[in-house]
Amino acid sequence: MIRPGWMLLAALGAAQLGCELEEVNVPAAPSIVVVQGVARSDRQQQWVLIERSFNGTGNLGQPSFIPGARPPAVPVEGAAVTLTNLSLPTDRCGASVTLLESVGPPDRIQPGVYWSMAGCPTMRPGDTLELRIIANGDVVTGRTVMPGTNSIVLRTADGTATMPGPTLTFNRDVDTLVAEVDPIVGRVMTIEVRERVFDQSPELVSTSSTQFWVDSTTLTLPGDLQNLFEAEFEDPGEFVPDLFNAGRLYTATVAYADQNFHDYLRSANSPLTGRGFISSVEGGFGFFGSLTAEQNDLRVVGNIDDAREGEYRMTGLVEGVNVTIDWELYLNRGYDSRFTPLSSYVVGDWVLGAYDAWTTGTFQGSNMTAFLVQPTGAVTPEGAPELRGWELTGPLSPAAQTTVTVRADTGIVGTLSAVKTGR
Amino acid sequence: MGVQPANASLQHHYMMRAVVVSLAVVTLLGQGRPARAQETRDVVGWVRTAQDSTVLPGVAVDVMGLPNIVFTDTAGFFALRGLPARDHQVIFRRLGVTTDTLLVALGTDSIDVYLVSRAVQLAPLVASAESPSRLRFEESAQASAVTIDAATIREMPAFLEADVIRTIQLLPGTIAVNDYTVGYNTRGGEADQNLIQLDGVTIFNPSHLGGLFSTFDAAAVGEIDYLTGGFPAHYPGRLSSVLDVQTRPGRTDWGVSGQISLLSSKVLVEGPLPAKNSSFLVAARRTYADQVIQWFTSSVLPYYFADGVAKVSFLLPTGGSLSLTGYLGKDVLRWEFAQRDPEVEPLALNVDWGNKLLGLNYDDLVFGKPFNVNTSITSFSTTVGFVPSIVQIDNDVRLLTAKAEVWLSPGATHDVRIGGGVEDYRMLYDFRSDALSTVYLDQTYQPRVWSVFIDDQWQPNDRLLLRPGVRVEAVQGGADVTTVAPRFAAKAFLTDDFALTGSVGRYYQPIHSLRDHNSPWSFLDFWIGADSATPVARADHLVLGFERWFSSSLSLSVEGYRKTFSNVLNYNIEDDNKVQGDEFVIMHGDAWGVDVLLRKFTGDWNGWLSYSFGKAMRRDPVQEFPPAHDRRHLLNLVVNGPGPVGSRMSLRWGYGSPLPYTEVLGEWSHREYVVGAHGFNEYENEPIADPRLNQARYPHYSRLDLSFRWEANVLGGVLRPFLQIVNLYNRGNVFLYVFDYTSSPGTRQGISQLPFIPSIGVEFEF
Repeated sequence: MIRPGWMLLAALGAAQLGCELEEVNVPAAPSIVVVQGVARSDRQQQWVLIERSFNGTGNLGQPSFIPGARPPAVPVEGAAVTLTNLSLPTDRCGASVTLLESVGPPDRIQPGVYWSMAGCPTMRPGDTLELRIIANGDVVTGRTVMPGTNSIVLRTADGTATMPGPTLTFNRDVDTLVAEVDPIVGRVMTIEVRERVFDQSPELVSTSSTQFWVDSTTLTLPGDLQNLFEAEFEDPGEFVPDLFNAGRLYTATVAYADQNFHDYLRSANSPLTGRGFISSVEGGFGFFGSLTAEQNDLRVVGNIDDAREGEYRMTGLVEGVNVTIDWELYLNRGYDSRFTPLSSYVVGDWVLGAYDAWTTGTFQGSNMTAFLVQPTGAVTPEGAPELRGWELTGPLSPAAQTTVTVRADTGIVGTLSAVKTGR
Repeated sequence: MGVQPANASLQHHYMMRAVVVSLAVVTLLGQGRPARAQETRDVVGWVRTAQDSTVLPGVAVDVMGLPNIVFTDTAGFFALRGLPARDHQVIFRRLGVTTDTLLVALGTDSIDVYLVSRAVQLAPLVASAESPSRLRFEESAQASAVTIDAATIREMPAFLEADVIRTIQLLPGTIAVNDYTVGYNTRGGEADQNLIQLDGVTIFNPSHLGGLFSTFDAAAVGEIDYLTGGFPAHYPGRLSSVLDVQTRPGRTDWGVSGQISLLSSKVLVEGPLPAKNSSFLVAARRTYADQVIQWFTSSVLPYYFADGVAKVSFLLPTGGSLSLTGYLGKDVLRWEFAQRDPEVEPLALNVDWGNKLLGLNYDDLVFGKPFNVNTSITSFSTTVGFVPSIVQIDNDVRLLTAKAEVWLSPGATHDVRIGGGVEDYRMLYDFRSDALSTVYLDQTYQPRVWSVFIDDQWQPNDRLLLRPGVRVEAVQGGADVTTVAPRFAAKAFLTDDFALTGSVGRYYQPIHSLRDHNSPWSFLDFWIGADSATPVARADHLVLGFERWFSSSLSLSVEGYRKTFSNVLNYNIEDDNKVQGDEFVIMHGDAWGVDVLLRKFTGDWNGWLSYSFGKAMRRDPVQEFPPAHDRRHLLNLVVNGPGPVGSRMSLRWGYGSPLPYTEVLGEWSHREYVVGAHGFNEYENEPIADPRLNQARYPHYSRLDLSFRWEANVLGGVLRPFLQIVNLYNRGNVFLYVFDYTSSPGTRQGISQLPFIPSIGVEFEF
C-alpha cells in the first residue's frame, strides 16, 4: 500500500529537480602575474619566465620547451624586470641588473622570457637575490638565497668523480650510483638522469630526463631502479621501463638548490581546492628559486647473462665505404614480449667517418635489428644537426660468423660480416 | 553500568502500566555459591529476551523493600551484593520489556532471567515498545543525545548497504559535507572532533573506500548513542560529539545471518560458548567487485575492503562479567605493473589502510559498588608505497587505554560516578625512499593523557535532575599541561512529559587530524598529538532547550547551542617536513544554532523529522571565514512504514542549504623545470584559489532515498530481499566545481555527488 504521505514527499523531492552540473560560462577572473624562474650560479645568463594566469580571456597555447620553442600562452611583454644582489651593494654589475626580453641567445629569445647580461648579477653562495617585476601596474617581488657547494661528488663501483669529471662506468645490475653534496648553503638536492646522444646540447634532449630530489645531501640510485615517472597509471599492467639500460650513455646532473626551489618541487595546487602550491613571490604567483649544478657522464653496462650479449666486430662495404665497427651489446627489458630490446656501444669507422656512440635495436630470437645514426655535419632549418640513418638486420651468433644487411632510405646499401669477439 | 535514582512518581507510573506476564525462566543453579556471611547474601545473574535469548542491557534490577538497585551491563549481567540473608522479591524492569517480579529464595544465588518484549503483549496497531530515549528523558539529565537501535539502521535506505554513520548524518546538528564522506561535522565542529567508539574503544578513521562506507557492520551493531553536545565527564577528549557504537552480544542459541549485495557479502555467526552463560558473535564482510570483474573481464579492479568484528562475553566465577571485542578492517589497493622478466620484482602501487582494535571490559561489584575496568588497544595504520622500495609512506596511530570507573552511591539521590585512566598515544609518520636512501619525513607524537573525573547525577526532587561533573586531564609528551573541564547539565520537569534541558561544559582535545578542513574530500585523517608545539584544542558548550513527549512513542526536542573553539588545527600547506610544529595553522572560531528533532519511535509508521539551523565561523592568522561545513539549514525526513507489495518501506529525504567553497580565480601552467636543460618543459594547468576562503556557496542539496524490504520464511530461516534506491529523482548535487579558464570565456562545470543508484540484495537469517 502506498500512502499519500510519502507520495507527497516524492513530489516535493521532484520539485527539487534541476541540474547544477552543466557547463556554464563564468566571468573573466582577475589576471594574475605568474613568475617562474631559477637563478643559477653555474650559468652565464639568468632568465625568468613571466606570464599571466589563464582567466578566461584567451585560448590555451601549445606545450612548448621554454625558452627556445613556442612562446608561453599568455606572456607578459614589456615588463620592467630587475635582479638585485641584496648581499652585495657594490656589485660590479650595478645596484640592480635589468633583465630584458631581447638579450638572450638568438635561438631562445621569446616573449615573456627576460634575460640578464652575461655574468650578472654577481651570485655567491649565501647571497640574497631579489627579483622585482613591474607589469601593467602589478608589482611582483621574490627573493632567493643562492645555494652553494664546496663539491659535488658522483660515485660508482668504478670510481669517484668530483663533478664535472671523467665518464664513470656504472653496472646497472649490481651497482648503485651515489651522489653527494658538500654544502655551503642550500636546502634540496636533485639528480637528473638523461640519455646522452652524440654531442647534442642538453637542451635538445631534455625531454627524456628523469629527476629525483631529496632534502638531504646524499642521494642514491640503484642501477636496477624502475622509472616510475615513465609509468602510465591509467591501466594496471602497464610496463614500467628501467631507469638505466646497459649499453647506453647517460648524463647525470646533480644540483643543490634553495628553499624556494624545494617548495616548488614538493607542492602543487590541488584540483579539488586550488590550493597547495607554495608560492615564493609576493604580488603574484609562482616561484623564484636558485640552484647550482654540475654534470657528469655515465657509461652504463650490465652483466653478461645471455649468449646474445657481448662484443662483436662488424666489417664490410657500405655505400662503397669500408667500415669496421665494434659493438658492446646488452639486452634490455621491454614491454613487447615478441621482441627483446638491445642497446650497444658502437665504436669504429662508419660511412660518414669515425663513429663513437650508442644505439638501440631489438632481437627476435637471434635475429638482430639495430639502427645507426650519424650526423652529416649539416644543420636543419630548425638549427638541429642533420642526421642520416641506417638499419642493420641479420642474425648474430656467439660461435659463428654471420652476415648483417645494411639498409638506408634507398634500399640495401651494403652487408657486414659479424663475429663475436668477446663476452 | 550506571545506576539512576528512581523517580518515585515515574516508577509508580510504569509499574502500574506494565502488563506483568512473566515468561521468565528461572534457572536455579544448585551449585550456587553460599552466602559470604551469615547476615548477607549475593545474587548475580543475566537477563535476556525470551524471544531470542539476546542479552538485555540497562534492565533495572530492584530488590523490593530495599534500596538496592542495579542495572544490567552491556552483557546483560547484574550483581546484587550484600543483601540480607533471606528470600527476596526482585523486580526487573526496562522500558520496552515486560516488568517481571521474581522470588529469589535463600540459597539461590545465580539466576537467568528471560523477559518478554512488551510489544508482544499489545495489539499490533499499538505495538509500542518504549524506547531507551524515553528512559533517558526520565532518568538522565543528559541532553543532546539520540539513541538509534540496530533495526532502525538496517531499515534505512542506503547506498548498497546499511551504514551506521550514514544514519547519524541524518540527525540534527550533523552535517555531511557531501555523499562521498562518512566524516561528519557536529554543531559547527570539525570532523576530527567527533569521538567514535566501538564498545568503548576509539576508532580513528571509521571508513572504507575513501569514506563511502563506514567500518561498522550494521548487522553486528546493537545500539548507538550519539551525543551532540554537553556530553558528560567520563568521555575522553573530543570537542564536539560522541558516537558510542555498541556491538550486540551474541545469542545463546546458534544463529547465522548475512547479506549478499552487489558490493559485498557478509556473514554473522553467533552462539553459546562452552563456558556457562557465555556467548560469542563473529561477523565478517568483504567486497568482491575485484573478483567479479576478474572472472568476467580482462580488466582489473585492484581494490577491495574487508573487515570483521567479534565479541565474546563470559560470566566469571566471581559473578562479574567479562567481554572482549575485536575488530579488524583493511582496505587494500594493489596496482601491479607488468613485468616480463620473472627475476624482476613487479613494480606496484601498494596502498592499504585499516583499523585494528581489541577491547576488554570487566564489570563486577567491589565492596558492593558497581565497578568497571576497560582496557583496550586500538590502532590505525596507513601504508602508501611504490614497491619494491621506491617510496613508502607509513602512518601508524596506536592508542593504549586503561580506565576504571566506580559508582559510589547507587540508589541514593546522588548517582556519583568517579573514574580515571590513561590514554597512551603513539603516532608515527615515516616517508622514505629506500631506493634513494633518504628519509623525507620522520615524526613521532607521543602524548599520554592521565585523566580523572567525577560525575554526579543528583535528583534533589521529583522535578529536577542536576548533573555536575568535572574532568581533569594531564597531557604529557611535550605539551605538559593540565586541563580542568567542568561540566554541568540540568533538566527540569514541568510535567511528566515536558522538561527544560540545559548543559554547559568545557572540552579539551589533545589529538588532531591533519587535514585540509576546507577540502570537500579527504582520503583519510592523519592524526597528530599535542606536544611542545602542538596545542591542546578547547571548546566551550552552552546548550538550552526542551524535550516534550506527546505520547509514549512521540517526542520533540528543541535545543539551541553556542560553542566556541580555540586552538583548532588546520593543515598547513607550507608544512616543512624537517620542522615539527609547523604542520598546522591554528584556528579559533565559534558556532551557534538550533536543532529540532521530532521523532516517532514505534508503530506502523515511524521515523523522524530533523531540522537544524546553524552558523559557524573560523579565524586563522590571516582571515575570518565560514568553514566548509557551515550549512545554515538542514532538513532530514526519515519515514519507515508499510510499502507496496507487502514490503516494509523506508524513505529518507534530505535538504541542505548551500555549503561554502573557495572560488577559483584562474589557472596557471605549473611548469616542470629541467635542471640539465635549464628550461621548462612539460606542465600541468592547475587552478588558483581565491585566497579568501569559502566566500562562494554551492547550490542547495537535496536527495530522496527509498528502500523496500520483504520477508519470507524459507527452510526454517528468514530471507529478506531488498531494493534500495539512492537519489530517486537523480538530482545533480554538486560535489565540487571544475573550472576551465584556458578557454574564452572561462567555464565552470559541476561534478556530481551520488546519482540515481538502485541496488538489490538479500539478507538471510537462520
